[in-house]
Amino acid sequence: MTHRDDKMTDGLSDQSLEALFAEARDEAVMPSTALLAAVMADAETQIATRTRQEAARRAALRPTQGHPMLAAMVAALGGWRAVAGLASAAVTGLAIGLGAPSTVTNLATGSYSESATVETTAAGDALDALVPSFYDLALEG
Amino acid sequence: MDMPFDALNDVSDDALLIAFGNGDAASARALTLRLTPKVLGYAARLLRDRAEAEDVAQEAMLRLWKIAPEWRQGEAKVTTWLYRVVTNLCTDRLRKKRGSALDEIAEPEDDRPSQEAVMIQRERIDALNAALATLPDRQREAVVLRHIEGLGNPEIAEVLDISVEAVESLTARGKRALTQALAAQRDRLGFEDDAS
Repeated sequence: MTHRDDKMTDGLSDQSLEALFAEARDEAVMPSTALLAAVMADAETQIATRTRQEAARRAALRPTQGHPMLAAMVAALGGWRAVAGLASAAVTGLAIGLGAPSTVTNLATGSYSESATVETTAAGDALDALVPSFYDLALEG
Repeated sequence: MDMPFDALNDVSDDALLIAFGNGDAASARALTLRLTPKVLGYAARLLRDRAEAEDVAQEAMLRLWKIAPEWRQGEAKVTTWLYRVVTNLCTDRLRKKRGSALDEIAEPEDDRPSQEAVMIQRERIDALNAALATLPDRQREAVVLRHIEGLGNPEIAEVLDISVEAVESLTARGKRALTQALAAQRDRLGFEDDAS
């Protein structure tokens, strides 16, 4: 059945050994359902662990919260948008006050007159260049 | 547990592992179904103990899950990496077992007669496994990887961290030792016409 060359002198022939290997290859070692379930459970645990770690890492990278009192004040004023609007209004008011004190005074005291405006604009001061626009703004309310 | 059919048959192990590393559970399921039988089969052949082989298989797969986020496509073959992990885990377990249970591992099954034809194949495989167990660790690993798991010599060299020449030498010596170990059982195993 086998060639003389394939045989060991006092052992099993190579062909017989190959046949044994082939039988061993064909014999499937099937994992139990419990093992498959355990392996899958490990995988899911790893996914959950990594998700948690990633969330923690992102939280660590997020800028730290400011002082709690400042946060409370911002919240009381209606949030950052409201505070931004308030800040803009404050800066505008300051600019008007600095740029045209006499106009503001006149407006406030009700002594506004055409001549007063002309006088103010005629002063030719650098800041006075801003007045017409602020004046219009003030008139519009 | 309901295990759906591996619908990702065409996707490489590499790609599935990377997808799992990005949190894809479906890839993990596909890899579990694809790789666990290989890992278990190899561990069972090295350890000859089903329960221990299952422990090793689970541990090897867990290590695979852990390394997934760092896995780079094309760097290594997933199965090669796994065979290497299983080899090391089995070697550790066999070293611990040695001493107390060496005889139990090394001795072939006793000569109980097989009455049924269906038992003959089982008996032949048992005899082969018993003969494999008599080989030194490295020889056994090389022979199993080459002739049962079907790996090429370069991949075995990678798994065992030795040269290809060393693999060739180990498998040749291993096969020679196996033929000697199985010679006495030649008739019983149904290889009468191969007798020299």
